[in-house]
Amino acid sequence: MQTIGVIGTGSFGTAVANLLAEHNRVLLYTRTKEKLDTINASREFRGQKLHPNIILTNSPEELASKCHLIFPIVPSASFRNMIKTFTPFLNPGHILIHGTKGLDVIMPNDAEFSDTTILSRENIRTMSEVILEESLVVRVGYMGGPNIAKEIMDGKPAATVIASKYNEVVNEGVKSIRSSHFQVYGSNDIVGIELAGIFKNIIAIAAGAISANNLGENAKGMLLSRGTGEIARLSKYLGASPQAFLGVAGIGDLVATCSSKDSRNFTVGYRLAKGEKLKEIIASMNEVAEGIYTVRIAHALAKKYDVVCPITNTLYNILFKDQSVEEGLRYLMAFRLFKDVDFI
Amino acid sequence: MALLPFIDSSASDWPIVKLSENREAFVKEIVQESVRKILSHYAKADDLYDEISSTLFQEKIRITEKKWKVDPADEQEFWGDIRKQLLVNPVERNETEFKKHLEQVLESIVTRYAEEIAGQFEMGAFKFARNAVEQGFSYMLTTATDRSIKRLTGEKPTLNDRIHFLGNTEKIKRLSEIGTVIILPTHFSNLDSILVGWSIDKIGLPPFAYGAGINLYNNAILGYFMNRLGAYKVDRRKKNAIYLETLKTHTQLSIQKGCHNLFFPGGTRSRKGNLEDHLKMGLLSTTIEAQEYNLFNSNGNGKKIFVVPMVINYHLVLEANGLINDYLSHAGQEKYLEKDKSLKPWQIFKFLWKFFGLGSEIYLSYGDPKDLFGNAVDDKGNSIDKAGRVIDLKQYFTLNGAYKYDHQRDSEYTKQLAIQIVKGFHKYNVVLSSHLVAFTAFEILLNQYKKLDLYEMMRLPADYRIISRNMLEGAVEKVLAKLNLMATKGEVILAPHLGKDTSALVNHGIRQMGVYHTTLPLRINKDGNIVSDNLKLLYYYHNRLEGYGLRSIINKKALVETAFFG
Repeated sequence: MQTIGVIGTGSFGTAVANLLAEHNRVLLYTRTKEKLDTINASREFRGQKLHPNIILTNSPEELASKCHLIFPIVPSASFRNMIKTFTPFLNPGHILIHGTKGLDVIMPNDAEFSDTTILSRENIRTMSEVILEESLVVRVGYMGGPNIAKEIMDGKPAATVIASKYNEVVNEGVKSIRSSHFQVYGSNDIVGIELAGIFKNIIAIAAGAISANNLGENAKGMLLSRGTGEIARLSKYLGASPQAFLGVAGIGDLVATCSSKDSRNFTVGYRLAKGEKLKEIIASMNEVAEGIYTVRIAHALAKKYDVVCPITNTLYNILFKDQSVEEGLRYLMAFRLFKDVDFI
Repeated sequence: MALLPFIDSSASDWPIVKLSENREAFVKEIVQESVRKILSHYAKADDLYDEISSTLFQEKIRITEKKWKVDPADEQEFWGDIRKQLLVNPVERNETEFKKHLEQVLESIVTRYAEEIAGQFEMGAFKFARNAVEQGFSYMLTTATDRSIKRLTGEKPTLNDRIHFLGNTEKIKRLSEIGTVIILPTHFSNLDSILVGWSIDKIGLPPFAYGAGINLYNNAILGYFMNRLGAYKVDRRKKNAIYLETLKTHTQLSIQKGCHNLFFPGGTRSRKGNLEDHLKMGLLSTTIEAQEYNLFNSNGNGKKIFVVPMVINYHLVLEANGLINDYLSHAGQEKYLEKDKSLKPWQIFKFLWKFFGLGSEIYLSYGDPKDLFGNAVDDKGNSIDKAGRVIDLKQYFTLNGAYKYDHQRDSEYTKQLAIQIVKGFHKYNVVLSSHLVAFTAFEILLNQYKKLDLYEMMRLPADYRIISRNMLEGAVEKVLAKLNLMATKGEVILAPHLGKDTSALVNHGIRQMGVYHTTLPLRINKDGNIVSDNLKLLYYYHNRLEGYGLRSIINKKALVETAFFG
């Protein structure tokens, strides 16, 4: 039996560890000794039971020396620092498949984020690009799809895409994680698949707001289709092919996230529409809703490439400019764009 | 100026010498290996038959429609014979025997190709050639140099004043003793082959094997020198899979045997005049395959392969006119080569005479040697990561700790290597006054006539092609300021003559660009303003600074301001 590494004990990290543990030994990394002891004592984390094949560690060296295949799944804000702690122990023989749906931003001239910030492709990195930048690992992949952790843990059927430029990585990923209730597809368009997963969180926030206001299924259908077009159009300028947005990691993930109260980003939109303030919502959540930051980044990118992004802009105003949800919706319904599909 | 001594005192140990001494055995090995690879693609006899037939068909067309002086006399005969051998009655044929028969036909084709490709390095002729090139250059330099310059300075000019070597050539030399060095230059002119061959020798490296277009052999003088300086032949008319596999196998085997190699990764001369951004993956992939062989095959020598991007910087390119016309007429890169437009000896002489006579300079800029994965290497040839740790290259080829061959992975590695080399071209490019002035002048015109497309631009009437001197100098200063900033970050190199004051710099650039061409890309008119008589050429020289993000600096508003107030 192979030993596979997982970095990160969030709900998705734990779910992935449990999936892998069905056919492999798993070494699950958590940063602090305290957390390790707590989880070890209960063999349970946020309601998820740990599979007996999972062993916990807080040593990056142990994880890197024992595992050739590693799944890093930590929030994008701490991803780069996490990789840096592993860098001394990683070599070109390692394969890393991450599952983080966020972007790393390198601010131009070290400026602070503001309304006038403009970002270009050079200022952002997907997590696979962070891995390439910070370590010697070249064989990098990403897994993404309709993968709500809770449903996976309940043994409900789900699918994911493993994307990498290297077929080797896709094959290793599929071999390790595929099971009777978890289907896995492959793709070589890693940037496209990553961006589809990242930007869909924007639409998920909007979907939450629509759901909270009981605006009906027609409104949701409109949002999902227009939203897909919007994020695909923007992603084209960032090196993605539109096809990625039509697959399991695109439409598939979008539909799941935009309908589920178990999705963090959906919840943010839902609670906003119910009148809560963003600060309160963030403070009360125990895991990061990546979409909030993604809205800000997409807003700054759209300015650079002159892409029409009404949904993103509206959310930006709601999240960061105190615009009301109703006002935002009025703006969207008044916005005139005639063409239907223009991103393929 | 004396030639540097060779670093390797026992020249008879050079792999290139050994290969040539055992040429017959080497050709045999190429044939065996190529046939093995080709057969692995065509499991069924019918597929192999189709491939050989299509090769025969293409070769027949080449022989009748694209004949060159250099082609051997027995071409008709050879391919006629192959045709006869392919005439097998399908009713009577026995599958196993048929396949065996086809394999023999394949072998005879591959043998012919391998014999043609493999070079014949000769030590005696090599020594003669290196001296001849050296003395030829020196003779032209001392004879052609403007007498007034000689009288003024009272000093004899030397080649060192004109041909500049940049980069850590000492390190490249050291690495050539430890491993196998692959030099990958940009390609602008047919003269590049001689120049790079000579320069490799000049900095004290042992001779390199290099692929030279077979069309160059139409020119007796070029052909003579190239053969002796380690060249092997590449025929770009032959695009069939059998030929390409033989060519790749030749290169891979020669690298595996430790021969230092040089190839132009852009494949052909840059039509547009820009630094190549699309490289040929076929030849490049041989380096990855050879490295893998060296590390894992029991016959492998374990030697490491180092790549060195190199940029050749001329003020002017002899063939600029034909190249840019070809680019603009969309004739396609390949078609152009099929015409035999090799340089005539008198053209080369005239060019060199002008080059040396007018104080023109050439910068040969060698990049930092790296391993195939873009890692820096130390003096001992170890690959080093950012933190200074030594990297074990074997790990790039292992899966779950064990070696595993994976063709798709290797071709991805080749793509990454290409990206690394293109980056190197930009980093080690030396900006010359002529590049800077051509770029700025053409951008000004583009800005003034924004509504026109490129082809309409080229037909701009004469009185619309005038740029005020003020405007040009103002814009040159702006572009130079940005380039200076980039140079401090190591993103490009600036030639020392760019330090002149702007007016002198503009004059220098215009004069150097115009050295050879009959209609000038830029000249100064009687009012002291700048005119272009040949916009195509101006566009060609302008393209050299493409890809640095300099375009945005020159905008109309700023230009108008400088013209009137600056």
